[in-house]
Amino acid sequence: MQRPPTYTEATDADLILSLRRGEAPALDELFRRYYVGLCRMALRYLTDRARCEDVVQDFFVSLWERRESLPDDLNAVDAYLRRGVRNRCLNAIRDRGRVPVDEGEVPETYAAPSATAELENAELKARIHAAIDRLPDRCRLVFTMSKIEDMSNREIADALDLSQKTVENQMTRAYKYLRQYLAGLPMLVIPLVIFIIPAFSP
Amino acid sequence: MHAPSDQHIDQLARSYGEEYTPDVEAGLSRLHARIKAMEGDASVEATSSTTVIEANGAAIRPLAARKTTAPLPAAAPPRAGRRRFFSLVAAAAVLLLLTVWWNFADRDTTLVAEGENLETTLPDGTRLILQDGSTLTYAADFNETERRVELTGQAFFEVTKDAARPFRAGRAGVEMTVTGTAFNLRVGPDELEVEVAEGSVLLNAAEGQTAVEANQCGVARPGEAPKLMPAPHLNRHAWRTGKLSFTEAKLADVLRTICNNYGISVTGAEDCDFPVSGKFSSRDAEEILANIAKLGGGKVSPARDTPGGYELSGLCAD
Repeated sequence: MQRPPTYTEATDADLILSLRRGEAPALDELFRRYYVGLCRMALRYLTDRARCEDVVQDFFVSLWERRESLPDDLNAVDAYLRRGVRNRCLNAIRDRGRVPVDEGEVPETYAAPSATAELENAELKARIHAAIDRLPDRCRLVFTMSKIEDMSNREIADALDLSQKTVENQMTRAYKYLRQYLAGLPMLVIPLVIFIIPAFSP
Repeated sequence: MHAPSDQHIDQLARSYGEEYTPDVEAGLSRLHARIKAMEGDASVEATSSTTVIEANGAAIRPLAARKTTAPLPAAAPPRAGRRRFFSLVAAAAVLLLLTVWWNFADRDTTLVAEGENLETTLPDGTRLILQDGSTLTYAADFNETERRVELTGQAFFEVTKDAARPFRAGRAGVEMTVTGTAFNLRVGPDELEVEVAEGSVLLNAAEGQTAVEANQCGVARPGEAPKLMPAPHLNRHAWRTGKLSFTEAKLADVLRTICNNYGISVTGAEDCDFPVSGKFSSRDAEEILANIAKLGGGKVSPARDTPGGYELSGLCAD
């Protein structure tokens, strides 16, 4: 196979091969391609942006350290990198005893007064994200692992060392809270909500 | 009222966290710094271990092939004596190398302010004013991939901008990160409090994360998410600037700020509350307390049995 002229034009698989040969620019190119995506994924597990960047960078350092023993038939490089970073995140949660404990009640719903008179899907999205931020740690972790990382309840239970029943309970709570939060809108906006939401219902 | 369906929630949740966009180039230069640091450590370790190997093989190797700083004897002692001598010399060389390496590789610097505030600059150019009675520690690798300090007490920082090497301060599960800004930081036994004068600071705890902007104060306690308060007058910088300003503030809040800031304790105001307004300009806590007490028709005196303690009396008396 002929080596591509520049790293930016190389396929992911070729970059891994270049990396195995010790070509540092290949590491840089992989980093540029995947850094943001991997950090966003790590954020769902770790909630701390600085630590996310640390974890992803440590992962790339270890990629470089063991460059010579990387698999030479890697097809889905994306999945390989994501798996590596995800494992580091789960280890970080487990090792530091950071598997969030059950803190009891979900917080009181708080109706954030909205200055704008319109309620669009974008704002609904923003509210949902704000609501997810406010979920208790264990609840949020389970929810994001399920709905964004597409893990099964069984996989989540194994990863966090919980029972499947606990995982199911956390999901129920999450939905309950998110619905409550969305519903806690100021009186001004309700008529508009009744008008707009049916337009988005599936 | 119409509640959204689970599927609708899922659809909205899918994009959670997508507004987060870390700086790729800054991350890349930190990655390079980490790799360089990692490879630097590895080569030093290799040197020490190679020396050990060489020392063990000294008896068999010819003299010319071995590098050592120890002088060799002119006369040739008998064979057995020579072997023992060379292993002693080699062992000394190993010890010397290890001591030198250990000394440079693992040294923390601790700054202590005793008797007065300490004003100085950190290796990266950050301006530091450390309050009397506080200590600040940083490691030998301070400016390599990041700038990490540990503070006990209170200090004012003016951090030099360097996005590639974030400035971090913190303790026990709470940490703050800045890339270039001016702020007052107080680390107590149970909390971390940061009041920002310029720029912005990120407060991270396991339970949550908050950005603290200019003229705001963020407080983090273990087990809680960081809380944010407005701080328009930067009163927590008062120990350094000598300036306090309050507008209709609650007495309890005012006294707490003064106590934390000047490192004193105050009693006598437990059942009283009146709004405090005014500008105070003094580095003397007692003088400020006297002025505040006057607002409530009372006075202040040093507490007899508590050093650094003051007693307010006659407040809210009818």
